[in-house]
Amino acid sequence: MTPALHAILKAPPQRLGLFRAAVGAFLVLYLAARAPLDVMTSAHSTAQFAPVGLPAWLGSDAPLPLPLVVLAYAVTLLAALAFTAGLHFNIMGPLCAVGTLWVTSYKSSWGMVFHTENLLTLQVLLLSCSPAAQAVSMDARQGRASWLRSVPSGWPLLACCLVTIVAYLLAGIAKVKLSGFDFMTGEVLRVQVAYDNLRKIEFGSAHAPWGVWAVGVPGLFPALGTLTLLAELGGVCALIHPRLALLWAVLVVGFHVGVLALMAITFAYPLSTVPFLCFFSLERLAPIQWLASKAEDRTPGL
Amino acid sequence: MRFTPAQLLYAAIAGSLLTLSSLPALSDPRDDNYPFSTYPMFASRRKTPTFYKAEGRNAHGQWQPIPPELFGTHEVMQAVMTVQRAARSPRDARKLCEDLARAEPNRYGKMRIVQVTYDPVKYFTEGPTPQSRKVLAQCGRRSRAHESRQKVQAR
Repeated sequence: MTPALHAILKAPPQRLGLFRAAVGAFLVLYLAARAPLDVMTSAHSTAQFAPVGLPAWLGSDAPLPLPLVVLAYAVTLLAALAFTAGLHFNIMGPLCAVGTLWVTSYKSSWGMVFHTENLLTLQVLLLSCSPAAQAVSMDARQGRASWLRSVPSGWPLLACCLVTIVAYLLAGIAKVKLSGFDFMTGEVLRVQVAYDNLRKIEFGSAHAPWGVWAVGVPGLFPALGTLTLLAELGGVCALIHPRLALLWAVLVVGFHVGVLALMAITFAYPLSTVPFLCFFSLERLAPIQWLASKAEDRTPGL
Repeated sequence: MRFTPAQLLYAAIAGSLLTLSSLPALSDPRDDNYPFSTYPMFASRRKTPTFYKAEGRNAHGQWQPIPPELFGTHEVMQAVMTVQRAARSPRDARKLCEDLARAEPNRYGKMRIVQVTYDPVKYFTEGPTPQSRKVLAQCGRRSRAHESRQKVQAR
């Protein structure tokens, strides 16, 4: 077994609890920030409704009335708060996962499938049916046990690591399938950057001035193309050693910073670094240990 | 080594999710879905892409791009996809044009759905001249000035 796999699989419940709290906190902030925009999306005409994800699996062929859209969003947000706090997690965890899947699927059910929420949704799904509230949670403080407490804490963490690696690997495979390894020459990426900014300008939307500048510097793109493919195809290395995991996470976050700078596209979840926390021994970080010791002074729950 | 029912249940759920997440690797990257995506963004080789966009003519007679908000979204990509889908048939293009005109009757005198082809790199390096341009649908009220201009031209 590699050092990275060993470290992940032997994770204590505190690490899983900390990761759940981090994912949940991001989810709460994200849902709260996006609520007006996402609810407004449902004002599209019925003709534009093209269900994907949960609405498609449920056979839904028409949009929901606005009050139901708002209700689903509100329930998901409340469930996400409980998910973050680890409160009644046996019930609220799965409810939060189903709600997140519904809300994000519904947003992508109007002709444009977004790629900014897949990883968040999949990690929430993997955590929701795990013993992620055995520590660092209200359930632990109040003595409520998880129905899945016999599942080792490392399993959900490894599953979250794998789903993260797979997401980027698929993006890399799509590039190789559609553009070949020529992607590394940078021309495909240069045209993409130009295309994306042109589309935004033509639609009267905010574009990325750095992207417009970069299109005029073709020598920049071979390095960017190569780094992009390295970041996307190299995720498996993160399972070899924790230092390689750190290197990969930095590379991927850097890739998303580049996408933001050159195309004004925000992948908020990876930019927050939260999805990569499952690769690391969070409980050993000095601020976390300090917080844990403070919490232990007050209650033995943490 | 014996596994508990809870461990077997978690292994089945996580295994299924991971398998479903990985399966798109075997399909065409253009067959995208949610949440099990092929992640095809930024992957295609684009040469001279065709854009479909909605334009409105303001009080000064200038054609301007219609912002995503008029499509009921803040997401530019969602607005792009809406126009792209409508552009498939003249009837749908006309209907979208009329819907947009109804949504903001006072802001633009006229609206139109256009198909434009650009070379994206040349757009920024040489100037925003389209390679081709075609109006797919046009709608909205006619301004009095425009009508009288047309009458004069007819005479």
